[in-house]
Amino acid sequence: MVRLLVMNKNYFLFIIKNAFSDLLKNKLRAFLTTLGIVIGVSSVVLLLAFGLGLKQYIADQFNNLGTNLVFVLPGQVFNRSGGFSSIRSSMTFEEKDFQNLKKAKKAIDVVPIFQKTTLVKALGKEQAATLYGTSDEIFAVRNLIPKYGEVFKKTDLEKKSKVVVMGPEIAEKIFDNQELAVNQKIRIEDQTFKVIGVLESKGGGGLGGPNLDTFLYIPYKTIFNITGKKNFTTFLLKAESEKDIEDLKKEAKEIMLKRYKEDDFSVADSKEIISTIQSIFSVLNMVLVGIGAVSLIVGGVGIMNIMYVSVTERTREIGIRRALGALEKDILFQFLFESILLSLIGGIIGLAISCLIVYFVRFFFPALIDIKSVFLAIFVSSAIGIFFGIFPARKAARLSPIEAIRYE
Amino acid sequence: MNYFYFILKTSLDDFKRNKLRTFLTSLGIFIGILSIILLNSLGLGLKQYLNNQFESLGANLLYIYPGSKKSIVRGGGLVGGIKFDARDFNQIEKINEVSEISPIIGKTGALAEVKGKEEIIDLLGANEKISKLFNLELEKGRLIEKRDCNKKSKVVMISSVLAKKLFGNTDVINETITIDGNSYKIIAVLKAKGGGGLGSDLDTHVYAPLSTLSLIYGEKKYPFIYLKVKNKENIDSTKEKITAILKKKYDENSFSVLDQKETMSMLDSIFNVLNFVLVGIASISLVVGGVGIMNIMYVSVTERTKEIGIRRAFGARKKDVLWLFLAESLFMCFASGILALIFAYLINMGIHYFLPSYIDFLTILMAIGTCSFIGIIFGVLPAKKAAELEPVEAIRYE
Repeated sequence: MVRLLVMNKNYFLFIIKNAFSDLLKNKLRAFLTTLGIVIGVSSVVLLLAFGLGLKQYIADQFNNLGTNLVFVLPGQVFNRSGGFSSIRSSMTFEEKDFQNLKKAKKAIDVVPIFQKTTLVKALGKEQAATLYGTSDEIFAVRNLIPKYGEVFKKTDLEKKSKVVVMGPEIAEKIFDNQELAVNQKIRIEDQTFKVIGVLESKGGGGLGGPNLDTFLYIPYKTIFNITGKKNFTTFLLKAESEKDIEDLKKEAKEIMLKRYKEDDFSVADSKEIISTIQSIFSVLNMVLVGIGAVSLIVGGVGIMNIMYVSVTERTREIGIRRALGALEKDILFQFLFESILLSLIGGIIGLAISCLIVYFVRFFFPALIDIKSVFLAIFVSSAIGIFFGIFPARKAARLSPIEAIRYE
Repeated sequence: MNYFYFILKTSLDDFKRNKLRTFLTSLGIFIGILSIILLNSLGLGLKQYLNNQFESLGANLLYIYPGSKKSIVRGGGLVGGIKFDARDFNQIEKINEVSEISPIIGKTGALAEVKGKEEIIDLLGANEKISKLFNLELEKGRLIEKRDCNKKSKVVMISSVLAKKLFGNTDVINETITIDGNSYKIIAVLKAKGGGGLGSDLDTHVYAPLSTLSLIYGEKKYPFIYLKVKNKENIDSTKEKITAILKKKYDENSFSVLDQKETMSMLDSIFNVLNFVLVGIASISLVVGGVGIMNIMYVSVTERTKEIGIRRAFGARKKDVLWLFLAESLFMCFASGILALIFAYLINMGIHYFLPSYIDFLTILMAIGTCSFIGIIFGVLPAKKAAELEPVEAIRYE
């Protein structure tokens, strides 16, 4: 290999030219050999791309619902084997916790949430829905924008107005038409509420994230007034920037520890929740990529096979080259370079095809090719060329020149 | 018959002449088909394992889950879904056909600790009916009784498998076990339900009184209700009655009432999809192997051009030449398929102690069928090229 580095440019050019002219002599053979690698590399790169795309999609779904958020939840959210716990504590927080959390220095917004499933009655229909008793800041923190009508304001909260802002999905279900829902009356918990707005759709849900489109947003003081209980199920804290998240979590934890045991509540940021969901998909993706990589090995075996054929066919040529002064090393490089070229071209074509497929498919399905996949594809295909090319090349180099030149 | 024998012998002669080449070409197909067979047998085994687990829970069981049937298939419904309360439970309990019924709360992946030894377990809270619902059989001690539930006693029943893991023996009645920081007294060792080392098997379940767990975890409602129906014939009518009761209070899509058959077919459909995807990706390598065969067959045709010319001159028809080459690729694929089956069988014998897997007749048929198919598809083009060669030109070829 040292020689490859120090040898002059002409020698290098000679080897490249040789390899190309040999490949061109056997176009069909070169095409079929490369095809194996093309298929293998594209399947691996595409599987990686889908895995990456899905991860990105999950993260986007969460970030779409507000960034730099810290959640204070009752009970332990994560269980020990890394998944979510199925016992979710029905413990609730109190007004006092809300006031305490507001004092957190790193929190620019603190939104209390009381969540409850309930029955909505309107136009003679009944529909189950999730009630979200909260403050007016929720709309800014969660990036919720009204599509029709408006969202409730601080004055609605203070006046304990019986107003409700609906998610688009639930509005559609009850009124069949989102626009017509505004200013209608609905009955929740035996009270009449006025619909003042319907929100823009946020999409999502399903992949672990909440589906905010199905929620009913009501000022929490209104709910307290009706139910007589003053409980919260979640607090949403917004940090100024990403670097404040850790500090805010620590602060929130200290505040909550004053009144609760460590096991009674959890403080989590969206990143933790996202990465828990993502890790489940990562495992599956790695298995798929691993199985896809088997085809690369099969492609490599194909290269090896064809290179052996090539060595046999060119035995006489090798003999003549050796007679004219070529060293064992020169012959080795000649054949090794050919196999590397075959698989590298296959890798690059496979990469190009994957890029093309991803380019079109990403409108329907999340897929993403990052720089790491590109390097991986090029690296793996060169490695396959070297690994499966070295044995035939060695066979060629070790042929006895006299025997070789006599070969018919 | 003689013709067939002749073709077979010619192929074998050619293989013998190019041993390395034949080996490498077959290796590609072999790897591809082997990975397909192994994945398929793992999928089959896993499916059967789960079915067995469900069956060992006893017949006539009905499950009430949060979430619609669709969302359960996707694994949803559990997080943020509805929970049932004592009123729902009492109403369902009153249905005539119900023989045993228990609310269930569960915590998967809880940490059980005994004198420094730790195990991940699934903690289940239920009432005293659980032993009849799940067909739990006692090895030692006594089952959870009504008084344990009333007194909210901190007692648990564990399986003999878990007892051996944590204590080294099954003589553990009245010993203390710590789960998630709370201590419980072991009152029963249950007979092992069997199953492989998948981790999620029934023997990792630890049963405690529902009331005890409600108190400890501060959870008064429950996500599941399991019940047993007296008569098999009444399963459907009972399901309807339960649905009618729950529909009054909850949205129809926010809960499901499932019997075992449905639960199993749901699991089956999840595994079928997963298996399909895995086998699909593995078959890519088979296609790559097929391309390798095609490549080598073209080489072979070129090398044997002169031979083909001579054969044609001696009276071989186009068809004969076609068969000669097609048989070669078919033979290679077929042999690799058989070899892969034998390998897969041996591997299965080795791993079926740790992982559930088995090869059924359909897999064997599929493997052989796929191999022959690949041999024909990728062999026919080179064989046709050989057959179409002009005899005069071919015989002159150097």
